[in-house]
Amino acid sequence: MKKLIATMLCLSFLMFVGCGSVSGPASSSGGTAPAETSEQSDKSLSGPLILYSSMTENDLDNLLKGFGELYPDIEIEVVNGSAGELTARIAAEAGNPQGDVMWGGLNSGDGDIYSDIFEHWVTEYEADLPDAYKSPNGYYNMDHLSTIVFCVNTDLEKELGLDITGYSDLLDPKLKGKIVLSDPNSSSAAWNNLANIMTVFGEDSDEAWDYIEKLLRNDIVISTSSSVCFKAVADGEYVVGLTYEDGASTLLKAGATNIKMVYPEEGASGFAFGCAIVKGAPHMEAAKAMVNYLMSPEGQAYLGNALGTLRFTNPKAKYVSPYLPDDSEINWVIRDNNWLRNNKENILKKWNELYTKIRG
Amino acid sequence: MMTKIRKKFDIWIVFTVSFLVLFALFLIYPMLGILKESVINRDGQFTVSEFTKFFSQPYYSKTILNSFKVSIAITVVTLLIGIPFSYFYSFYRLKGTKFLFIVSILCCMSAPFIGAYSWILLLGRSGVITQFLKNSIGINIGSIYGFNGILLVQSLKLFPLVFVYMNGAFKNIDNSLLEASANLGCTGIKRFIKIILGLSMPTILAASLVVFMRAFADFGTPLLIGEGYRTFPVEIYNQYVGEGVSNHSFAAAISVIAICVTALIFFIQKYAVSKFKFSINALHSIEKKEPRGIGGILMHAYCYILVSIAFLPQLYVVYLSFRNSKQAVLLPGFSLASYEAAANKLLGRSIKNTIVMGIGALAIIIVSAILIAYLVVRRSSFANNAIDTLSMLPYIMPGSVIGIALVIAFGKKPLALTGTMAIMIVALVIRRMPYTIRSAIATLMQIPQSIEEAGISLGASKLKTFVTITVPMMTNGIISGAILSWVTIVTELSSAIILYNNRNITLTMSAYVAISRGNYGLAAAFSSVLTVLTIVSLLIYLVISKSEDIKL
Repeated sequence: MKKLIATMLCLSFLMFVGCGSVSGPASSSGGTAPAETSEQSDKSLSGPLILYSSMTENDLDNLLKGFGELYPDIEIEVVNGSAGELTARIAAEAGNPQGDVMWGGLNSGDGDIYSDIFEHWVTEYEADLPDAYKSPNGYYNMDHLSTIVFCVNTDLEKELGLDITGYSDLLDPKLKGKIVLSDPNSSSAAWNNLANIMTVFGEDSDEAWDYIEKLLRNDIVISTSSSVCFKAVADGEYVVGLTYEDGASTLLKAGATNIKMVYPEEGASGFAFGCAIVKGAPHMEAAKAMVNYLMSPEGQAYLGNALGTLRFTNPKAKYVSPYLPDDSEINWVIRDNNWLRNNKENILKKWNELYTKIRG
Repeated sequence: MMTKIRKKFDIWIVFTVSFLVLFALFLIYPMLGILKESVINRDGQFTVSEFTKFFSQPYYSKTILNSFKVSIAITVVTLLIGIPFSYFYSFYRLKGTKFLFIVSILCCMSAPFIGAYSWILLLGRSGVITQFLKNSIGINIGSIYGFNGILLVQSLKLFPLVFVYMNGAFKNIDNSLLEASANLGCTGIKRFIKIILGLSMPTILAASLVVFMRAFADFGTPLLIGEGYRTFPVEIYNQYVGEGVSNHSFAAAISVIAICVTALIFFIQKYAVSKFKFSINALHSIEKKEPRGIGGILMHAYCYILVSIAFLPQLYVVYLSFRNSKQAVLLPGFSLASYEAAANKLLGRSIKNTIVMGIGALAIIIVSAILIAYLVVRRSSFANNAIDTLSMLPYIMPGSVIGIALVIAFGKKPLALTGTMAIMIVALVIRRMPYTIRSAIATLMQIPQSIEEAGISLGASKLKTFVTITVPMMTNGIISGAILSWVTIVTELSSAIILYNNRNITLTMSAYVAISRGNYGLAAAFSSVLTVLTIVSLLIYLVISKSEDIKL
């Protein structure tokens, strides 16, 4: 027994002392080095790369494959989570950065709120991008677009005798409690949808809030996770999910036959979403290679073809997306990113007040 | 006299000082950090605007009320189903009592979200049972999300607490009291309510408060199944991970409010328990009766059905883990594909981390608890009493609050621990230590000091006496408590969700990530491994302790 206690004493002290060293970054490589003009496929790069991402498994699998062909010696580890979770994690780890790159969730409607946790760095491909997709702040590199869609369960739609084509259809009493949206306070996909409603009905207009109120009175379900808004629709939990192209079309690609994507006839729009390098990333060179890949015409073309579910930002990237409808089939509306950025807090506050008023 | 003064500068002073320093660093400093974050704005000025925001916007303040409502409902339901279960178990010779006991303990110790996750798969809008009922007999069972879902999941998880507490109370009821009441014409239901429940009142109260506290601070269940029904621990987390840096202040403010509320409940509990403090000791304990006839069948049916329903979620998850699936879609046939997928998703590292961090945390907890118990019981002084009081602080800190407090305190240099195993271990130690310290103090108080004095008078040093005499005498109580601590450590979610990353990820967190990504097969595989780990741990406990008494 004496030995047992002695061992435990030793063990406990070892744990205290030992754990500090488990995590120290391998080296303080990089820092805030200026953007270098590294050409594609610097195969000499090797070592680990920690990718924080809110993208789907389909996106990540293909990124790892495409990137891996160019940089076979970089070992990527993915940490999944929602945009809010991941940025909170990066902020928490700021004194001792653990991640290198964040992909997804960072959108043009965010403004400057994350500027203190990412490197102020954009790729050389920035010049290729149309103005609408240029980095809003010099921290994000906007690589793909995320257009809002309704994910509709066609079996249940038929059962209810509905034909859902736009926002007005969502107020049908038959859909009471059968529409799902994630929480706009924490999910970028939900904020994306709220922003589209603002754009379609008029920014902060009475019409917009009147519509949202009616939607809430039709018992729209607010889920905690944004992936619920397409997965649970395919499962038959809900009839309609207010979600985004990539999520819904990934299910189509996976072979789901009971869902369809509806771009609201009143108008559809989306945010550009980006990637960024974590400030003080422990594997800076690999991180830059990854962001360069995501922004390059070659990388975007590879991903565009391999995924078939995502629209990218670099006009030089040529690819076909069999799971997405052609641009011409969608009634596009242009959103005012500046206005949305400046009014996000106010809109969310009003949303919360309305939610409380109606749900109690 | 001289020798006595010299003795004061012994090794125990060093321990006292070390514990005070450690508590200051890992408990007080993070708490002050969270307090500061809640009242200082980004420009460094003092403001109570975050608190005004919470109380002036019903969207937020409502969450406290919601938590209260659902916790009270859970408490009532657990009493209603737990007391009869314990009554049948204690007063009648049921078949398979050991089985009933073990299975109900397993229900209670499962990871915090497995119940919610599994019930969604069974009773959700497209759950197996829901679909079956809808397609075969056209019954629509309605939504299990929100209030009802939390109530269902938590009641089935927490009723074993009532069961264990009540078993203890019923065991102490003296048979002669029951005979006396029968002689006076009080029998049957009337006797059960007036005499048996009356005599168990202190225990009923203690059990309900424990259940209430657990339900109130629970994070995993409402997170998964709460949907629009927003509770307080989930709101803290949502504010913390919500987009926008300023939200950290708001999360901190809600945390401060949370600590105040739980502290209040804690003191009410202390007060209520002291009001009802009377103890009975059975000279002639109850003789178990043979359950006969219809009544006997009904009793067995009640107990077995209750336990089966409560254990169903865990069985279903294990079953699912062997089913073929693709993302969120279940496919026909069985295979080990989900486990292969898990192996590619850090299964090995998760298991290793869980075990390494679990053992590390446990070793620290046990050693500290023994030392602190000694300081408090044998070396009563102002400093040591302060240690005693400080060690109780984590009782009133919900897990997510501890997570956020540690992030605020240790996110910056020179003590940048975020993302490391060390910070995870610190969180686990803080979460569990108070319980182990309590039981160590209770154990030590029962050991007469004269035994140690005998050792010293025979020439052994104080430290030697402590190590060779006192500690071995405390070991039994501590070891059995430790295994239960182990189970709660490996299933820790609420603080780990804030502190984990790919390096210090645990099994529980891997399972949670898979669930939140909607990857059913993977989630089931991780959850099953976790379930098996808890079951094995508990069986080891039951074999070692050979007892049917369990302190939760």
